[in-house]
Order: sequence, then structure tokens, then C-alpha cells
Amino acid sequence: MSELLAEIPASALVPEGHYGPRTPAPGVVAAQLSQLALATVAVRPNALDLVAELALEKLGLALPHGPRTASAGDLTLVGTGPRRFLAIGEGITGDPLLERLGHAFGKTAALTDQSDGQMVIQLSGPRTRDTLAKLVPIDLDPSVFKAGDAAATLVALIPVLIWQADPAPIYRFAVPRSFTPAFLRALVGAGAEFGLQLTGTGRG
Amino acid sequence: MRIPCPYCGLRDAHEFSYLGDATVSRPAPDMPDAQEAFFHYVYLRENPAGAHEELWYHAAGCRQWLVVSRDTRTHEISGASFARAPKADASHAEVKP
Repeated sequence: MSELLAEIPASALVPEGHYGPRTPAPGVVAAQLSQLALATVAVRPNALDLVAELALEKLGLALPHGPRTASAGDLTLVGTGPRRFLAIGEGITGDPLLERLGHAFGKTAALTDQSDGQMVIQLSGPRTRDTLAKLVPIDLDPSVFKAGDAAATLVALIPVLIWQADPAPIYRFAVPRSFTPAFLRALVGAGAEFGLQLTGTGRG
Repeated sequence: MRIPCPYCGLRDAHEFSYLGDATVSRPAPDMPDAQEAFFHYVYLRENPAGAHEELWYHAAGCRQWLVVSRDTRTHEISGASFARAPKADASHAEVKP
């Protein structure tokens, strides 16, 4: 596997496929999710209470308090900092997402399309936590980090936003697009011993 | 060394960058002794052996400036708060490790 990682271009995504020993079922399933729209939401000073009301009224979302997620239908908000959120729309593109958020929040928040700026990688499978123990510097034990929790942190010195989408567990990572090849290399290196199935990256 | 970020929780110091003394404040430029006050503000620092207040930037996390209370002899951290006090969102109060 290290031969493969040595041969593919440093700027290319790791090609999809199976890495590591063949087990009846892969220990880790990693997927690059497409058809997601992302946008940052930066709430104006003193407007957090108003935005929380608007989110509930217009989007049916309880604004996350602290580093947590909130979802309603195909829209998810992840808390990334005080008055800062990442909005993720499934099955849509950036423009309709911004239109929807702009319609809901008006001038109470600054919106920036990040659909071209970040890629989202989803991890699932029985050995996901064993893999992430080698990559993520925060404690992901279910007693500390549960479904709906989020954290902005570093993976292999790459700034990522991680959130747990499901107690199964399923984790999602928003990774800066140009760092995703390096992120996937670190991921494959950490997860291959458990058998890692990678999808959504095509031929790399 | 771990820093208790008021937003993110307990995080490794590698996620932060250090600026320095958080106890100095910028003097008013129209004071009569402004030149002397600015000399102190820009150049002179206490070097306490013990409790100290420092500015740390949580670059890899919530991207906020924090004021961290650290014992310079033991690296024991007794608390951290946002350097810029949140106004409407004061719900993220100071946390202790």
C-alpha cells in the first residue's frame, strides 16, 4: 500500500478501492460525499438571539449551542465557534443553499459559499474509532463525544471540522479541498490495517 | 499542556498559538505622558514566577483569542476566557479545567 501511495500524484485524491487485508466486511468504510452544498454562517454581533429565532421559524432548526449540530430535513448546521456555523445542504448546490439561508437570516448573518472550499468525508464501520484514535487529537469515546457533537481540530496537521452524524458511529469530516489528498493518505495509512473501503474518489 | 477553551473544551496546546502578556492595555494616545506610556506598553513586560495572564489564539479550533491564567512555574492552568467578552452570546461563560 505504501508503494501505491508513493506512486499516485501528491495532489490527487487516493483512488477508490479496498486497502489492507481482505476481511469478510471492511473494518472502515470511507466515502467522499458529493452533492453537498456548504456555507459558513457568521452571525452579526448581538444578533445571535434573533438568528436563533429565525432559524427556528424559517428553517425549523434549533440553533446549535456550542460545538454541536442541528438538523432539519436536508439541512444541517454545525457550530464552529462563537456566532459561527457551517451549513450543509444535502442534494443541492451552493446557490440555492445561500438563497435559502439568505431568505431565512436576511442581514443578521454573513453567508459565504464553501461548496468549492471543503470536501466532506464520511467514516463508518466497526473499526472507525480504532482508526480515528490514530488521527484525531480529541477524545471520541461515546461517553464524551456523542452523536450531534462537533469539534474543529487538527488531523495530521490539517484543520478539519468533525461531527458525529449517527451513534452507529458515523463521523463526518469537512476538510479544506486542497488538503483532502493529504487527509485521505493519512486516513488510508491509519485504517488499512483494519481493511478500509474507500468510495467517492474515482480514480484519484 | 492542555488549555480549557471556553467554546471547544479541553484542547492540546498545539492547537493554539501564544502571543504573550494579557495584562497590558493600550494607553490613550492623547495623554500628556503618552510617549512614556507607549514605551511601557510596547516594550516592558513583567516576568512573574507564578500566576500570569496570557493571550492564546485557538487557531485550529474556534479561532478566538483567549486570556489564559497559567502558573509560569508549573504550567498549571487555572482558567481561560474569551479575550473579547461576548455580548449577546454571553452563554459561553468561563470554564475551568
